[in-house]
Amino acid sequence: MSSAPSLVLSRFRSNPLWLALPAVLLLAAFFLFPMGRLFLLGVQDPQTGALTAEHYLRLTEAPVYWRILGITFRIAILTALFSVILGYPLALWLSRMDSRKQSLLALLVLLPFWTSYLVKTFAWMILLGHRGVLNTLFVEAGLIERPLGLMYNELGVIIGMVHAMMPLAVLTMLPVMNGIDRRLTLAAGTMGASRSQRFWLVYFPLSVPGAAAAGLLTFITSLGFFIVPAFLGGSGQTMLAQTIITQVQELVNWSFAAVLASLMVVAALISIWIYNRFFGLSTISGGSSSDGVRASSGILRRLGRRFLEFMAWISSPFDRFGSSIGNDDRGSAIYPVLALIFLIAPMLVVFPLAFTSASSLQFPPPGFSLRWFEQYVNSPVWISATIRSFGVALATAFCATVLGGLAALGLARSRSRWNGPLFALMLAPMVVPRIVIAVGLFYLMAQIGLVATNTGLVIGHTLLAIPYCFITIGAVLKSYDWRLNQAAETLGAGRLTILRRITLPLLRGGVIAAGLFAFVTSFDELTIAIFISGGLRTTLPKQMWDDMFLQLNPTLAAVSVVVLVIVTAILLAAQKLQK
Amino acid sequence: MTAASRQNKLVLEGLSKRYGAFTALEPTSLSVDDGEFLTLLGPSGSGKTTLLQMISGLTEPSEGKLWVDGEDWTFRPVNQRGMGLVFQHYALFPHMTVAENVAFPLQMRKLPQAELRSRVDETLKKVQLDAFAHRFPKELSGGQQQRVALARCFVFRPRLILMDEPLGALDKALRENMQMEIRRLHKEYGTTVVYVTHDQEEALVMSDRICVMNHAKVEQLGAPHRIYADPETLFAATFIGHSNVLTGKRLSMDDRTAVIRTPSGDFRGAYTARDRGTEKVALIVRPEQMRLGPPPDGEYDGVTGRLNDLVYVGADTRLLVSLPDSTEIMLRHDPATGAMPAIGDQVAVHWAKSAARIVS
Repeated sequence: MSSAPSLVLSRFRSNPLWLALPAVLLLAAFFLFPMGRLFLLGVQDPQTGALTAEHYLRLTEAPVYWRILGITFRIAILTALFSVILGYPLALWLSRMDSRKQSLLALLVLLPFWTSYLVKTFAWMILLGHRGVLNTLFVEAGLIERPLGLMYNELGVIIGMVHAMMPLAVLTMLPVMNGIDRRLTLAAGTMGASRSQRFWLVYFPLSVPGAAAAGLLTFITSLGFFIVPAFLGGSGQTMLAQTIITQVQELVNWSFAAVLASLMVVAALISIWIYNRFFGLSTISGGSSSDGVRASSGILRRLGRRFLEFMAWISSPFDRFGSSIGNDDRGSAIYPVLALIFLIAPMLVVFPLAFTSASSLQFPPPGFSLRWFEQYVNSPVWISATIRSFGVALATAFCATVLGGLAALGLARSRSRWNGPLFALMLAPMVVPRIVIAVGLFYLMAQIGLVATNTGLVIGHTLLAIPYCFITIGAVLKSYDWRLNQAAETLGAGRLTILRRITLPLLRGGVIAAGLFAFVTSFDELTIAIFISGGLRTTLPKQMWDDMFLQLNPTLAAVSVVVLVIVTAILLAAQKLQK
Repeated sequence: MTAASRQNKLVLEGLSKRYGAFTALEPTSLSVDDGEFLTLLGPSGSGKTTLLQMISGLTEPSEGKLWVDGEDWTFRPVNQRGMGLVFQHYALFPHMTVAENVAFPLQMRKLPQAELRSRVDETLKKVQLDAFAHRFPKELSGGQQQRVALARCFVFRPRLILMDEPLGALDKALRENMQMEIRRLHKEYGTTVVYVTHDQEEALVMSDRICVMNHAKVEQLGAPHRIYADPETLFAATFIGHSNVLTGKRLSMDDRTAVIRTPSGDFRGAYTARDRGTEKVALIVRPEQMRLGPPPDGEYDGVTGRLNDLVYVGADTRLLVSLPDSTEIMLRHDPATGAMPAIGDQVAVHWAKSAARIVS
């Protein structure tokens, strides 16, 4: 009589991929489907639904859109380039430390990585403004006579974007660099290679997959950026994402917004395809890069080799500045420390301004007061936004951890040919520009009445947080010894007991860390909130965004301090638990 | 070739390494002859790898000097030493083919293309890898990767080759095969080799001399048969080959011999202890020097005990005998001495006084 249920059970047992089903269903309904719908919108007539190319033809009619596309690509490419070049020596420096010191200093990169773009951008506005901190300091020091135009131009946008993207670049390159066998450069040294030859002929080619992955991720993320150009750029720096927001929110031109979103996705997919061609995607997901650049054709290889030999020759005069003996290729710490200061210091500027007694953001603050925190605490708008953000973030953390964790468990236990596609699907929300996800979601949720609901927000944020939970829990599972389960089984434990007594306790740190990452993802999230949160009931980032458009005031600095403190506390907790 | 006519290739003068309060190597002095195969043998943490790395220039010594061909090389940059180094896990460049790996040291020496190519081909042939020249390291087996590492080292004809447990990752059969290969290459090129291993059998097979190391210092340095026959310390006696050890107090001594008092009796043996000050000493007798039966005359010493176990190991049978103070000794059964005793029997064991060594 028990044959039917046990059959079902055994089928569940035989294929652990079933565990990924809830996450797959959510992603299919609220990620894949709306994206497909969005793509269709771009090629359909809004009235009849017939296929048409008219929306794409609009691109050719208005040169302004070509200009926006050009600007977007230019800014994204420059951002990626600077982030990788400026981040590379920092990642290299970190990778040479022992793991304890490294994880400590990597916090200084993780912190800006997780800090909301809004807070970072707000800080740069204070720093770069016409009467901002830097201009004030420069003028008073007598370095310049009149304030420099540091923002509302391309310079401002690039500074803000590179600051926002460099942590991602460093964190992408670091695992690849950690994976490079240090004995290889030692070996090259014993064979007569000089410092520059060791670096350019041996180390650098092995680190290229990491640098390229960093370039790819920062490029794709930059493509969908709108916060930094909206506040730090001028009219000449309007990017694609801003145009999409305008099309949806002000012009309600869904078809054309869909065209622009599709273009963005296509650009992202093309860059991923190119990357995969040369390096293989496993590097991004934390696979080893020990094979370095994929064996490419003979000519390319020889050209690359010539280039590296040339670089080694160019840099050889600098060899004598380093220590020549042994593995002490540590190099100077001056640059990495400066880079860390560049990442951290701008955010610290909000602290003095949050405690100012003045009613404007003047620097230096004339006196100390808590009035702006009082203003924040006594403002029903800010407090309700804070409470809502907390609630949504908690719900998101729970959902994303359960769904992402189950999926990671399923994929870790399965050797199916579906693993590859499922893996890609789980990470996809991290790779597709958020603005595209948000617009697609808005269109769908408007139809089923989820706009301006907490449920809608939680669903949207869960989509974004699933990749982080999937990666974090997947990483713990990678080092999990599955023979422990067999051992427990031979000792008489059932499946549930094993999960409860063996697996979960061992994974607990990773699971809680995943939940905290999901919490921060949601707590900082603006893009989806702009579209879904709607009406008066906003989230904290959405409220900041609206206020920053109206007017910069010290309340924003106080809110920034609150956000920074919360995010830092959560990150430190997650870091501690992950070990 | 006599010792005097031989050149000192490498001389270490009080070389030491400390990391803070931790001593990785006590001040060590030794010299290596030109063309010699010297093995640094010891357990992990004995300082052998530290010593090797200071010779290679990968680690800077805390004190002391390093001379190569009469020149002071203590602080010479690693890439100007021209030594060959074979790493434990080979350290093959994963982004280069086998041929490119082997060509690398020649390119660093700016050899002309034509000569470079012929040298690479020739060396790859010597390690039977010419068919794999265009493969990548990860496409090769462990033994093949090891041969690439050897080829990459021998190709630039270094005058001194350092090897850090190069066979540690291979299985037993392959390891024995590669030991012969390295010996062959060493003879063919006449290179000086300093070789690190923790495998005493490997050290015995390959070396001209062995330097036994323990606790960050040299225990004994000498030809393999000398260390086996005349160990100077208890560690050297037990680390190389099997030894029966009877511990006790030194009763008397002269220049060459001493008498030791153990719970099983007083025995005489050649006094080879390096540290002649301590009274706590041990009598060392190799299993093959022990026979069953009471000592036939005054040239022999003996003990009695209970036969605990018989272990059949193919070529012979080993007898484990427990002495009254529960010291266990092991000897081989010699079929010529008559019938095999049974487990539990009381047996007498004897050895020639000339075969016994007293160490500290």
